[in-house]
Amino acid sequence: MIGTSFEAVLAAAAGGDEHAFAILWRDLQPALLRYLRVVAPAVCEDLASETWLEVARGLARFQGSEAGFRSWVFTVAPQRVIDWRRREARHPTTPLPPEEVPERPGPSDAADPVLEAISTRAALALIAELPPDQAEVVTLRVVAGLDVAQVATIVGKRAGAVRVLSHRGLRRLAERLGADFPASRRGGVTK
Amino acid sequence: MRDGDGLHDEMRYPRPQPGFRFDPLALDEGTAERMLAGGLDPADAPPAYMRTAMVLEAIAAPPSSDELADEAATVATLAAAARSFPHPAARRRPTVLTKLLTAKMAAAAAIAALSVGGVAAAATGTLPDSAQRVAHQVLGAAGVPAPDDHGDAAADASKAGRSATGPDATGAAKDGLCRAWQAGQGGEQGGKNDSTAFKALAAAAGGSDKVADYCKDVSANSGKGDAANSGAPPSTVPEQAQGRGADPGAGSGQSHAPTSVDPGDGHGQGQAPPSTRIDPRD
Repeated sequence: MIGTSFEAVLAAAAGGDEHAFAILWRDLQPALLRYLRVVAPAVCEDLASETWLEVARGLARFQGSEAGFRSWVFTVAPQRVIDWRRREARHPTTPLPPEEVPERPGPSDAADPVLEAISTRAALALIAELPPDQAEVVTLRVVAGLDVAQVATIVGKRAGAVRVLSHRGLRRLAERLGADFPASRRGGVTK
Repeated sequence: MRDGDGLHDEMRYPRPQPGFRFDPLALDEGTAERMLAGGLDPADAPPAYMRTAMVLEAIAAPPSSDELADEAATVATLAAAARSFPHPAARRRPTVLTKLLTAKMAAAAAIAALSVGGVAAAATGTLPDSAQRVAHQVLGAAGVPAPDDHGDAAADASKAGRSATGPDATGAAKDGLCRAWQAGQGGEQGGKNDSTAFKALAAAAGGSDKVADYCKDVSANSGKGDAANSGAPPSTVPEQAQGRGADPGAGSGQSHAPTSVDPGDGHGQGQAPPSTRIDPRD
């Protein structure tokens, strides 16, 4: 979050001020990259660049709050994903070299009871295993920090549908991570 | 019920099912919302959702350095792209000329980014990935073929602008052109000096032999050659006053011809004194 200086930062960035643009970029690039890592892992960095370029070009026309700006960035990103999928369908590219494909933790890793320090990458890979619509909604809520109404607008669904999808996503994640895990830290609750 | 189709019921009535004591994964809507909004510590999550909460915590963790890699070059290119698309109220319907000029501006910025990257490349043997990617996309958007290496960028830019007069080397493009020119010093100057972009630079300098002198104050102003540090701090002055005048066609109600600006001001910053200092590390 940028906070009270957001308006000034936005105006300066729209005028091409690198200093100000850097503030916007630092604030949203990690979340944008993580979102794209879930929905289009093979090309997440390319699509993040495409998203930012479109944002840069439209910046002077943007009017709104910081929350609105976040929403807008995460509206542009899925469009870039859709465009990429269309391009892919028309001209499939050769499979990426292995290092470009994010490593997915095996079930043994993810189900490790000692989950104290799960990495962001591994956690994103787990989210990416959810059905795509659930994964997208959960990521937009948690990573992008958007509320139900914002996510509903972005994915073109009603708020109720977004709630159900994210709820199912959480449930599925809990199933995936093992419902049979041992006593919790809260004092021996064993279902 | 097990396939999740009755989720609404599950959400409202986490009641025992025949043959089961409880649905261990029952999750009320309030708790779900707190997990999704990031307000639930894993230790406070329902036992069956503790790991889920930890995963959610991990995907919302503070950024790592690799997620913010190549910031300077990436931001420089994006800020240049923002400059090329000023507020519609401040710009007329684009003509062929302004489109070309805008494309040239983007190309000039990309040359600058690639040249700055080229210095890093010389040191590390590799161009920063995202700088290359963004520059490639800017060049592509300007109708310029993707350069195979930064050495061809100037030549490619001149190809794209065959019918153009080149960027306004006295104005906003001065910095980028000068840096691109300086980056080529001692290298293969021949082809670069023939390009439209560098011809414009030579014209602004008053002759190709005067480019070095002309660009001296740019490097002096840029301090250590870091473009990110050269700009005045952002201010809260109204956007009309905020230095869009350096962009061709961006002047309020002015003609599409490149606006001539004070040669001393190559940064596109406004004349108004900055009223708010914004610390990027806030």
